Amino acid sequence: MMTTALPPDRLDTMQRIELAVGVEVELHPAGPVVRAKAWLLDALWMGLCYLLGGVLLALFSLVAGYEAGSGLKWLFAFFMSWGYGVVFEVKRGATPGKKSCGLKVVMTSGAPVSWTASILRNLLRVVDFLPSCYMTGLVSCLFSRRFQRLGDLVADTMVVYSHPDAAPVFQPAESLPVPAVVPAMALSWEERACIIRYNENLGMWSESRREELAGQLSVLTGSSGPEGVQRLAGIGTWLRDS
Amino acid sequence: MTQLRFEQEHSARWAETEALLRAARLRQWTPDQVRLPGLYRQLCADLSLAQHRMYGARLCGRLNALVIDTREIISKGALLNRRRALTRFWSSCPLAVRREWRLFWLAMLLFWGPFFAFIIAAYHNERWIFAVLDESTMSSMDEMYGENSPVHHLREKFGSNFMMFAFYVEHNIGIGLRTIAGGVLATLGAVVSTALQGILLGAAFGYTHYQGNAERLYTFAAGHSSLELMGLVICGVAGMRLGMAVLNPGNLSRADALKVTAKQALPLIYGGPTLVFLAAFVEGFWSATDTPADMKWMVGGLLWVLLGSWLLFAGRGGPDEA
Repeated sequence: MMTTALPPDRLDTMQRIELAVGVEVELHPAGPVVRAKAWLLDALWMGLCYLLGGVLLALFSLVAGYEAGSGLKWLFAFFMSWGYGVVFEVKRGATPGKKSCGLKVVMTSGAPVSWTASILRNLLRVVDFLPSCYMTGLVSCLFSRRFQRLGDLVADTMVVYSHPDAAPVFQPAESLPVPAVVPAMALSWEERACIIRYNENLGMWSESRREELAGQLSVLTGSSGPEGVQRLAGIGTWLRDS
Repeated sequence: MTQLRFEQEHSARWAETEALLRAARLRQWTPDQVRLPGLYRQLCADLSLAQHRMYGARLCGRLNALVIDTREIISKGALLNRRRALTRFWSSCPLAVRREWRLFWLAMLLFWGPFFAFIIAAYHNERWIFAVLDESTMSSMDEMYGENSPVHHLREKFGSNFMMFAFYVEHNIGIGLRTIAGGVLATLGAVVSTALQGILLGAAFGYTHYQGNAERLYTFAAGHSSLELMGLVICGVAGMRLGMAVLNPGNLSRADALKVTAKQALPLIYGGPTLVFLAAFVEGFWSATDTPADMKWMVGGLLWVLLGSWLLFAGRGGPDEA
């Protein structure tokens, strides 16, 4: 059977995870920018929780005394520092901030995150935060293939887009309706996949870009410029429909 | 088979899977959901076919998402075997400590070395203590453990035991967790944190030797000292173990070494903070009560012996022994 694996030196960050022989899913790890955004949102959420918690504790203190309320305050602070991330990640897949950015935390095998992994990655948050504002985590993300910060490396997790279409790529437009053109020569599997992809992504390129790319295959299409684009798109249509 | 026919043939099954997933997400459990694993296998086959036949990004994307979501629903809810987890904790932590005996004794040295050094400093050169402690600490030590301070200084009001318990939970376990986490920085965080705790506690204890009622402090601390201090040492061992993965990854890359070592260090990562938590319990609810001093010393000694035996003997002869 032909393999669906593409050569390893790809430019994008798509993670292909093999579930079983011949079955591969694609997960799209999230980069540091969107994770930073998610963290800011989480900071707001936590601030809200602290506010709410503070009010409730103050009311509780009125009833049960200052010491009891103060005790609950310490326990609450402990939970918020260390447990907030764990509970949300295991139960719902992501903290509220991450969820609103369309992210989720998974193991690198694609499986849902386990308790142990979530505890480890949240434990190491303090290290990733050093010296300030997650600098260490940022450096680790940039050097890692899957955008893993130190906590992710230790816990074997990664943060991915929960739906691959949520990733910031343009939606592939429906192929332009062009008449099918039979290719002049036999094409390998990779070449056919390339041309079909070209067809799908036509909608997001400018005209000059389409011509530039089609010009690479002028040997196949036998023409260049706009006509080359048409013929290549036609070949793509023929390949797709055959 | 063209893409159109492929979609027509299978779209009913895909729609059924999507409906079952939606219900499962909303926690509406129906008997139909027992079909999900079978549907998942067929989905995987569909995805594989679609990718191989290059049916296009739209269809492949949809099937990709379906497979991921179905797998998530199916894989969730792995039951935790509580009894096995408990017995594993009981034996796995001492096993890990004995396995990491070099790091354990290093952590002991890092903590107890400065601790005793500062107590000795109280008798020979108290300026060391003044270099470490600040005004407010010293005055609060005077208040609590001075010659003439009342026995339970801070615990008269209702709930103040609970408050101190909660404070110790947040403060001490926080220190333990930071020690573990800091160890990832090539053991630096763990080493510095453990030594720092030895210095601070040694200075505080030394101060009461120098100017105060040391016996009162020791009586107070007797009950929980074993749990808290050894918990801290075990946290140090855990942190240093993680750091050693960075310093000495062996045949693995550092990232892989971290991953593998974290699994090995897991019993320590759970064990250390748990001991500190138990210490907070004792320190909060028992240490400040007015049980007679002899009783406190006895309990404290007993806990030291029990803890030592646990670390030395638990888990021996079992299948996991190295």
